[in-house]
Amino acid sequence: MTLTASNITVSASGRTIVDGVHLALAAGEFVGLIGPNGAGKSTLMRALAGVQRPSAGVVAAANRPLQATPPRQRARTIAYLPQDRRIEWRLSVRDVVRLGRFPHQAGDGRPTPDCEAAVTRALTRVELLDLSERPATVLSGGELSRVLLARALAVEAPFMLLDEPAAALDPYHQILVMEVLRDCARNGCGVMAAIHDLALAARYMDRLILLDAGRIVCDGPPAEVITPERLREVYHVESVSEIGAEMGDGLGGGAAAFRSWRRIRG
Amino acid sequence: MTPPRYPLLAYPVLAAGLAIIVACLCVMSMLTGPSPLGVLALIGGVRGEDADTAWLILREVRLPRTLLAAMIGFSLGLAGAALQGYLRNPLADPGVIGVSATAAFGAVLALYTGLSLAFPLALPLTAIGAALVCVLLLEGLAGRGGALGLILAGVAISSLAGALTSLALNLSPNPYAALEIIFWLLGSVTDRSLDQAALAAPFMFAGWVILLFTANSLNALSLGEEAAAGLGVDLSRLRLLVVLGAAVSVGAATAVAGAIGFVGLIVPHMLRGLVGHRPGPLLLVSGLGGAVLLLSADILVRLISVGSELRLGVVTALLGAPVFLSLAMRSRRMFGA
Repeated sequence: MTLTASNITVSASGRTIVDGVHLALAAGEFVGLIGPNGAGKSTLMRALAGVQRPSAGVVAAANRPLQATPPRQRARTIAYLPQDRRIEWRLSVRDVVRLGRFPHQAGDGRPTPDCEAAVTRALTRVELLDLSERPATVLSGGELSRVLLARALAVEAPFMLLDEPAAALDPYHQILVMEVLRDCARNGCGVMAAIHDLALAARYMDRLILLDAGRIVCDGPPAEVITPERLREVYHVESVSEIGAEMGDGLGGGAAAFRSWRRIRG
Repeated sequence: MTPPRYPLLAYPVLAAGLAIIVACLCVMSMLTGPSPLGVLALIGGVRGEDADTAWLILREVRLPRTLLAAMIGFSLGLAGAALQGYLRNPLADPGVIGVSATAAFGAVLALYTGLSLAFPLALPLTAIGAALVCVLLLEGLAGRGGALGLILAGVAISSLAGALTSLALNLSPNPYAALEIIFWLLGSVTDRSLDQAALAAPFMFAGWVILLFTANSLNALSLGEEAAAGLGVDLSRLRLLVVLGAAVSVGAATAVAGAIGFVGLIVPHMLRGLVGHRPGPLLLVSGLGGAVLLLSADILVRLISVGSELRLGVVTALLGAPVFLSLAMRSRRMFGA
């Protein structure tokens, strides 16, 4: 099964945010969506998840356009974690994760028999089973992020689209999240995550898609996508390690991703 | 593994318990009144003319009053819980945000233009229409504006509707207009007839069905609109259902009883913790809780004698305003203070 975007364009208030994007996310792949702030990553994610209707072009899961798919069925096919990490009421952690089973419920809202098992699996994956009865509103920011990730995992959909799942997490939990997502991909799920941390992206993801000004600049294995030239062009930064390279360090290309950066003026 | 969830009461027990309390209060309401004649007299074996009077009091005075208090309480509690879930704001209440005042204006308009005489359904219909306009206005003005925006928009709409109601009554040639102003602005279920109850009941029922239907979507909305859309909630359909359901039930309730405020604020606030703060299950229990509150308040106004009978809307406002104040203080964060 493949999730495909064919020539999709998203415009809002006269501005083109996503501009003629073609991409495909296959089952079993762990893909990173990278690009500077304002490149259109979140908007592209929303369009791929079927939450935002593109102004032009078609998003299709297994050749079936999302717009022709009933919302619940679409939600069972694509689990979507928005960037907005908000919980409005003092729900328990378990109740929040249970919402991931919403697309599977019958019309009368009765939970499916496998609901509790899926919820427990998801909570175990993000190491939060101990907190399941805690109100989600008293958790730390990092815990909350993981609760919402568990909510997306609980859908157990063939595709997962996550908008910065590793943002605002400490290194241990960043790695935990990346490993959980990679495991999902290894188990046959097509996973795509928007991510700012290029080092994490290069280390864990099979493929990166670099977005700039709404267009795809490059789509390929991390070492091909994260090159000093592209970093300079798109991000206006250069790797501090290049100084090291000049001094005989000998590292360049993809390895630059593990280095720190400095800003290029102009 | 399913760990025990809510320390106090399981949801079915809570709902059944509230339903039993509603039933008991209905019986008490039928037994309470200034006249000694009533159920007790009938059970006591009153015969002849006295028995007829007793039946008359029960059927014509206490029955409509009891039914209306229960139905209106249910409508207000349910609509309050639904509006709070939809706007994700614990301060949303049909009274506070102006729905009741606008519906009262609609009802007054139907009465004073003579439209309700020409055809009786005009009364609930104009009240519902006015309530619809109010909810749509609110959504437009303050749909995403947070607590402060919602309250400000509600206050503005309430004042406008209140002023227009007063204007309509002011211009009316009817010498009893002043009394009527009090009725519409304060709200009461005294001296309503069975016919009036029967006219409003189908609309209230319809509103309940529509609102109860939104329970699951409101749960999903706890995560914000985007996540809810990602979970397959049809947001425009949900909005339509909440707006329509709240307007129809509150509009019909207000058309018979005037503006009764704060029920939709107090009740969800008190019961939220008992359903694990989930907005969906809160709907039904808030409806039942609203019926409990309004039935008790209506029994209370009959028992407390202070010369003239206290208006129901006054009692709910006395109970509700402090709750509103404390909620507003607690959500100062939302007001940016």
